[in-house]
Amino acid sequence: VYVGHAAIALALKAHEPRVPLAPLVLACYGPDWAELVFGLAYGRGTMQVLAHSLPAVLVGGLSAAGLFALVAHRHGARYLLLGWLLHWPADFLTARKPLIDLDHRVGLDLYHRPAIDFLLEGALLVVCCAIYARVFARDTVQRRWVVAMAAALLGMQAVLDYGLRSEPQPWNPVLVHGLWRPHPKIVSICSVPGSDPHGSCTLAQYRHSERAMATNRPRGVTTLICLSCGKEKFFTQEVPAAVVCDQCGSTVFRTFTTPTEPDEAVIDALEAQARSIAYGDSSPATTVDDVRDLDAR
Amino acid sequence: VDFAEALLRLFGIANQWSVRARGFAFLLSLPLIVVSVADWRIRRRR
Repeated sequence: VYVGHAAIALALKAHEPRVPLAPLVLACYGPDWAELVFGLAYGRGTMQVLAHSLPAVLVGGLSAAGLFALVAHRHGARYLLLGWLLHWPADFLTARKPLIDLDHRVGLDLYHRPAIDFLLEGALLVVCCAIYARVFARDTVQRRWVVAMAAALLGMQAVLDYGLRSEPQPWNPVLVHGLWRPHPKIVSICSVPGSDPHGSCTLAQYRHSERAMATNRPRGVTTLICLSCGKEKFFTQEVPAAVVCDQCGSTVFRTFTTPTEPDEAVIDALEAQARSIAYGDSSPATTVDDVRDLDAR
Repeated sequence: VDFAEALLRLFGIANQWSVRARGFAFLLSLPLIVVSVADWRIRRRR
């Protein structure tokens, strides 16, 4: 959120007119300022956690409110805390922000839908300016200043959203971590670091979870060979429920799965089924009758 | 190297982010300036 934070500050100011507006606006943008300052010292990867994670927002808000109460000796420290805390839910709408660390970021990512972002922040700005005007703008000139302020902020938001149109990343809203991953405890119990745990150990920890094995299968390429014409189709992820041959339109395929990562079960099956193809080797377990059948014309 | 970058280097905190940080600071300052000026003008008339 860009001008939406300023809009929240205006609404808070209207609710408690005794609080000075500048510290309120600074508090509403507090995590962004903190991110900027921490970034100079630690680099950008760390600073987002230090500024925008939930614990950091809480600590930052309490610090800002405490500092305001100590230095300014004025009423309204809790409004600064509230403004700082509201930064996180506001940013949840437009970006993906860390819950605790960078591996767990959630948000609706509307910065990658700039038109929707503009409508959302514009609506918030109009509502908050109306609340502010109802308290502070009594005459026409004052109302004109409120309108000018809203127009300037809307213009800034429009420029920002126009610039965001060229962002190359696709829209990627995240509410939870989508990919199932083994619990670190299981990995440490039954497998070497960096590899997946054994299925039996995983099921021992997740007896009532089908997902434990369903999403932790070995990765590989699935080849579908059309029984009618021999055309091959390759899939690296899920094979669709209905596949139609591009060449002949048939829907009957023979399926082969080739793992691209070492998988003990598949290696064992391949070794057991392997047949020698060296010249002169006899075919094991092939009877004279089998050879006669193959030669039948 | 401009003055701001030289100052950051002097304190040993110039990094890849420091260049973008100035643009970020400008973006964050704009709403503060706009809102503060408008609020000052409105409250001056009360």
